[in-house]
Amino acid sequence: MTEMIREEQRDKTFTAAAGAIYALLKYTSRKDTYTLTDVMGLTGHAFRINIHPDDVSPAGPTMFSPTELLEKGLNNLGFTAEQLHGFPTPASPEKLEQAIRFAQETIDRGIPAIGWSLFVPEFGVIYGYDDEKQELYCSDPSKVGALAYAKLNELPMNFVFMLRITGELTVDPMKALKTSLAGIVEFARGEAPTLSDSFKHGLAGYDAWIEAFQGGHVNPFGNAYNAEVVGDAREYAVRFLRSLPERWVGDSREEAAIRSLSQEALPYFEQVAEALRIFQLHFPHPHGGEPNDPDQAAEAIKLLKTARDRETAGIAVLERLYEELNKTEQQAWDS
Amino acid sequence: MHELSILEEEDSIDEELDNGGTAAALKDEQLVELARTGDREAFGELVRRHRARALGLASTITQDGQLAEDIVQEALVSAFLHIETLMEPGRFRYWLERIVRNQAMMKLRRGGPGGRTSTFSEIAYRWGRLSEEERNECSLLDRMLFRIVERHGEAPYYETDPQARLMRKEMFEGLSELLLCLNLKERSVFEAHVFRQLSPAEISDALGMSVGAVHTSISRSRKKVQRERIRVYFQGYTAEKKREGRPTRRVLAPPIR
Repeated sequence: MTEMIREEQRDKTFTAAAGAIYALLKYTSRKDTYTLTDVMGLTGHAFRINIHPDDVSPAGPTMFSPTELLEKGLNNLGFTAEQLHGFPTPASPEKLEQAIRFAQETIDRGIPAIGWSLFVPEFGVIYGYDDEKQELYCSDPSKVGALAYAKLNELPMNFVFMLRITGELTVDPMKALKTSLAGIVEFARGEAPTLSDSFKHGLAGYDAWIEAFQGGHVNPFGNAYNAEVVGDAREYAVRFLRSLPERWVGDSREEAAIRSLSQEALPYFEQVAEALRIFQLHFPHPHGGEPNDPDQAAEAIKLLKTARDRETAGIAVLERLYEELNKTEQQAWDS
Repeated sequence: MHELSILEEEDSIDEELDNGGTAAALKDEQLVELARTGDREAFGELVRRHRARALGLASTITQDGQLAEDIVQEALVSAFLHIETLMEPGRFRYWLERIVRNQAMMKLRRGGPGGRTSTFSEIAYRWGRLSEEERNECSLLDRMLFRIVERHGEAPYYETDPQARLMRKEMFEGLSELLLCLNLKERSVFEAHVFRQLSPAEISDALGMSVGAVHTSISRSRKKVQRERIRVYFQGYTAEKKREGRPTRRVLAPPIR
């Protein structure tokens, strides 16, 4: 039953950065090229986790630069992008004009801009403007609606940031898969460029999460929110791995490796997703239950250890797949 | 107390000028202080010192002698009107050059002379650009409003210059318009604070409100006036786009969520 509901909601994700990327694709020539599952997998968002070991802060998922969260993923999907030089608010009308022009120019080309913290501190989409009414038309996880130009000076995070697609690149699907695997493995090892060392990402993120439960100062909302984001991401990881054999049906050694190793990794990620599903039931978003209750904390730690161990095993398989694909390339060069 | 000592100092400089007409011997900083009190001779000396350099800068940017003359003339008028916003009197030259540069760039963007006359929104545009370095935009706004209204009441001598008079009139009307976004009560509090420079405690006495309510009202009013200022700014932006025949509205299909 749970699985059925999740299948119906497959065009949604709690990873707003990936949701915004997916929304933008629909305005480009590649609107039918990628499913949301592809986007989650090829951008690596399906495999992310970033946890503060003190309190499981809700800031975790977005404590990375826009380059990491948006631009690299867009590149791997075959798009070039540029970022507005972001600025804190309140700002002068000229600064606001720069931002509004930035959005208007891409909207005039028929593609929305991605904006940060438009209505809530998540990524959203700016898909229209009206100079007479002085309004931008925006959509984010909290709502769809008008945002007055003057309100840019009063956004929830007091910072204006936007990103837009500038062009399309030809992508080699094999290369894109390899790039995403490289990113996934790098992230799992905690080697991705991060904005704050006090947060722990990748497999170390589970240890940080366990540490927070041991410390007893878990932020109930932050915990439930991270559980939603990471749990939802792993559902997509499962779907992504499941989809690979249908995509790579060729006889080459690489494609055979993709089919067999993705299916070897699959059960591990299914177990991660299942552990996080139970975890979410204990700490429902948004109120978050009682994470600092000792019994609840003990249960949480048990589930997080399971998730960590299964993910460690799953990542090891994906790493083998990555090596396999590169080895093949090397041999091709040699011959 | 501090203000009083400044006044005394200015008086003594005034005397010096009256006696010997030695404006040329004063530093820029002192001339700016005098110009702020409405001393035409002091401003004239500033113009004499910096006009050539400003003209050179405008000519370099525009590559057009006549346009450069116009730009410098307008920049000087603008500088005179805004001299009270100059926080560091010793930096007059750089400030004037920035006004010249901004006006030159704006003229170029608008496609040369006759692009449009000075309107409030344009002044507000320039003003906004000048204020970018200011730490506290609110206090700048306060000072601007205060000085302009004060001068309006005095009907000072430079109103004999028709261009300056027109610009000032439009600016004053524009600023009054800005305050229309406030309700009656907010307006009386804001005007008492800004125009008459009363402290929240004095306003609270005069209007029979609590000091807390006065603070809240001032802060809410500032926010409203700031929004209004942005709104006026973007009216200019929209008008410019329309003149250029560019679209002012485009709404794509709402994205999937």
